[in-house]
Amino acid sequence: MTQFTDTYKKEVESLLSNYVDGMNFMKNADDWTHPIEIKKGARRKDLPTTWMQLVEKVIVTIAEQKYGLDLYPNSLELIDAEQMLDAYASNGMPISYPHWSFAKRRKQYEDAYKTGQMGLAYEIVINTNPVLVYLMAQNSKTMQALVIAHAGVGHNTFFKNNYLFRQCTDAQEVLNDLERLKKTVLQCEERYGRKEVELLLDACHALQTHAVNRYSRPPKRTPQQEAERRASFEEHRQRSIDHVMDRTMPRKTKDDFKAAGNGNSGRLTEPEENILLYIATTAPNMPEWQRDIMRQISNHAQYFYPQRQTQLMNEGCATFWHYQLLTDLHEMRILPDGMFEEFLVSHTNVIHQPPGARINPYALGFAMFKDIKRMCENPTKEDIKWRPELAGQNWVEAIKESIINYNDSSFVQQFLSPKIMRDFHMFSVHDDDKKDKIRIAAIHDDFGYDMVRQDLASQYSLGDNEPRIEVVAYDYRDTRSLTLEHTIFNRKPLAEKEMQKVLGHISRYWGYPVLLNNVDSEGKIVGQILRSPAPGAGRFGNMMP
Amino acid sequence: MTNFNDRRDVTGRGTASDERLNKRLEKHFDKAIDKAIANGKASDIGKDGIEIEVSDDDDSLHEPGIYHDNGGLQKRVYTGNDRYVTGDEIDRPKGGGGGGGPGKAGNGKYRVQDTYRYKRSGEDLLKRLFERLELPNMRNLTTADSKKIQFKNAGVVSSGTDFRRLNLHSKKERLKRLMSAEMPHKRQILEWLTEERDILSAYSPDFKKKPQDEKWEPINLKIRTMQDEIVSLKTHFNDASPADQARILEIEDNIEDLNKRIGRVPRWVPSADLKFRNRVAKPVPTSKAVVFCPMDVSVSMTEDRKRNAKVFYFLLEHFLKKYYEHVELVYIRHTDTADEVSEEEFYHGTVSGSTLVSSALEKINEIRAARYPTSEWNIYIAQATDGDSFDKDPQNCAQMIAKMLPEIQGLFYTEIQNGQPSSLWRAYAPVQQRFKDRFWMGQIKSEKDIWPIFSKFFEKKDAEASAPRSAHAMQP
Repeated sequence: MTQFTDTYKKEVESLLSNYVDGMNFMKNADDWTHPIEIKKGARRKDLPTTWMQLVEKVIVTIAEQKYGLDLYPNSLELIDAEQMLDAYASNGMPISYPHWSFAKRRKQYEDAYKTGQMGLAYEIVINTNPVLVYLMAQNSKTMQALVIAHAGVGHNTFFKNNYLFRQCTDAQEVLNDLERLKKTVLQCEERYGRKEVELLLDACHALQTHAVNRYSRPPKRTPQQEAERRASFEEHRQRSIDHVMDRTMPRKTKDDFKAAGNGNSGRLTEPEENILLYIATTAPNMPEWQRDIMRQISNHAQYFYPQRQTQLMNEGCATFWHYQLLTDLHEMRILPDGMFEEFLVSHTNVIHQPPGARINPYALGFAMFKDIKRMCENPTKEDIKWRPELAGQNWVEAIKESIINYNDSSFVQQFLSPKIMRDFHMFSVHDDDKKDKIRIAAIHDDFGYDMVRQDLASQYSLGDNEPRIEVVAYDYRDTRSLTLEHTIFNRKPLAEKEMQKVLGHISRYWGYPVLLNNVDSEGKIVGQILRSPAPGAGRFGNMMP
Repeated sequence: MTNFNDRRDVTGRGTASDERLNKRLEKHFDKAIDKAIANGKASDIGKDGIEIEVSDDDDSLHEPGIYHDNGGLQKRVYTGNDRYVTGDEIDRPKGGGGGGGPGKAGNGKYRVQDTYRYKRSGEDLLKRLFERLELPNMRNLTTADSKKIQFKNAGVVSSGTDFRRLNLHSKKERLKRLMSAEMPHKRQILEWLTEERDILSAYSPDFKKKPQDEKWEPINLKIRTMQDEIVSLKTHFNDASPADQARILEIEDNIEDLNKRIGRVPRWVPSADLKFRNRVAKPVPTSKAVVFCPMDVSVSMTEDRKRNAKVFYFLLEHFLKKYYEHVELVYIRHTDTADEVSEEEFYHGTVSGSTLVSSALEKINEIRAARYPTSEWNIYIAQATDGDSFDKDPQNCAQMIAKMLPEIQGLFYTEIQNGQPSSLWRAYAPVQQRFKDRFWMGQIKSEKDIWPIFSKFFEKKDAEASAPRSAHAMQP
């Protein structure tokens, strides 16, 4: 059994002894606006002066002293419901560049909220340092404590420690980068007109799923190095364009472009996954301001990349720790029974998994972390067979280790135990369009565990779910066409009408034809889409065709 | 201590993104409005608002992305199995791929709808309608008792408070003064230094004068250069002849005195140097408009006709509200006599009788003289009648309005009947020709005509348009 020392209790008691309300500060408060009084003659410096800050301090003390969690500092932001909706619509960011899609999204959320289809998540939290914890003013005091534990500890420790977040995002810089992007967008709107900028942003949004470097990140460069790099790119681009030849050579036909795509002319040494950044760097004729915005948006998408891959773990971790901490507070008699009950009701609602519906990440995540704890403390024979290394281990360490080293897909592969699969009655459904019926491929029995786990892990893997499209060739010597390749996985086709529109965006900025090859698992081209830029797409100095 | 920031915002949203969304919805909004008007619902305009519908197929609101379509091999894990065994086969559910293929899931967690609906209030609708129109003859009036004052920036002055001080301007002024005060002295010093240097250089054979640069240099720099040269030459001071030495010493004394004089020029002279932003108080013109609504309620005006008149008045009132802070309506109903009445009585009263239109015009003049001086009010008259008047009445009316027109901003005459133009119309026509910029006439045969007539009255006029388009409104 994992043991804990009592120092955290003493710390909290000593902290609370500075206040008139003492250990009853939660019980005595009617509402989170309850003013707290520091005792006269309290010698401790830097004491929290409001109820919310005191709650945060108590909870963080327990988290750090009892469980040794590694946390960024928190910053509590009080907002109202309208602002919460705004935050939702702009991906949780407090600042954002203006774009019509954010207003559209906001309206969708507002409608869903007003018709009761969606609860305003009681938390939005931003992966920055310090972590911004948004608290809705309309929430009750119990909910505020819950949010502080959930976001201010749970999400916080996840952001700080998970390998993907550490690799891909710079918590210090993200808000500064956003601020800079917003300024750039507003400036460009003034100089080049709203319509031009809107079109550019539409194109960037269309490509946002393919605007990320998954495995390698460009090294940090100083502004001078960046400028030099950009100048050398520009020079290289200019060298590979011959404006005179462009106008005097005979027009290329569609077949020429297709041939260029099929052949090896201008084939990249390695396919490029970050399509947006590739266009920003290599498009033959694009003004610098457009490249700059594309680059910044790619950078911004990089920030969200880890979120997409860790939703299950992140919510599970936050739910687990909020449960753990509020239970501790109740045990210490700081959280009164009434509040504890209210918390349990909310918690139960959140982890409800309706059968047959989409898997609720809060439900599954919470269950999995709880299960890790169980496998450490009370393993059954099955657990020992399945995860021997957990038996008898310190569960806090085991959980911390899992937070650091896994993403959703690998987390499921490693920790989705047979017990959880039984608890949830999981089953895997295979829908093969070659067959007329849908097949239940596996259920929660001994024969099915492996396949259910595999299939669920695959569901969380971005690589399996997002179309794999990469830049494979740029025919810089001749047609200057861009060739993209879609590697078909499990015979899943692309949403073709959508892809046409996306290609339309790409070709507008590329300035020359864009070719998309659909390639099967053997490398054979089974389909092609060619998209040329509209005539007169020669704005801002784009030349022909 | 952890930060705790209260970011609650009472000012309300209206974000930049909303602006851009509305711009994108503009043409859909217009379509919806046109549809509503075509359905003859002019009287309901502004009441319940309007709904804009945009389908996702339209590119206005569609966000393209890269994602899979249904097909191929889709695998999905669900919970809550209470009936299936491995190997069971079930039918594909209708409408979309099996086992919950993405379908129209879009990319990410944002669900794609088939149609987007946006509500716009009646106010918004009217605003948009009226955006296409403009009001002529507007005057912004300043009245004696208008107490509103606006402060405007009016250049730079030499006195003011600290808050309004312009530091850069002040420094420049000071610099100007100092330079002009010191310059003659400095030139003199330069002259003497040059003389001194020339004297000394005679005793230094290996001294090379610095070449005279064609470039202009500031005087202080020239002085310093000269002083540097002299310092290097001073080593030969003792070789100089007594006369020269004496002269050099004299020069240096003079220079010292002159430097003292320069030093006595005051560094800051507040009255001359300091500059401040000037501001001037200007009265804000108030804008007030009054609309006289003389409506014919004689026997010939049926309920339908009265209703059309009412809609016209409603539109006019809202249109004017766009331009004036303060719009008042004066309701006058007339048969063969005219009375000013309340709004309730105006729309729902049941008085009836024969027709004498001039009674209404007399009443208007009466009220105008009593309560609405032209120096303070912009005056509009919206007359609604079926033109059914006899004998001398049309001529009298024509004469009366000919007298009134120079003093008012606009007269709108709507004839609400669907026959040939009446005698009143024919009497008004020549007056209209004379006052084309403020007299509009239109015939409303049915409800469908109200909005077209209204918009013809206030069409935006280009600079090129010669004859006012309101001439067309004359033709029934």
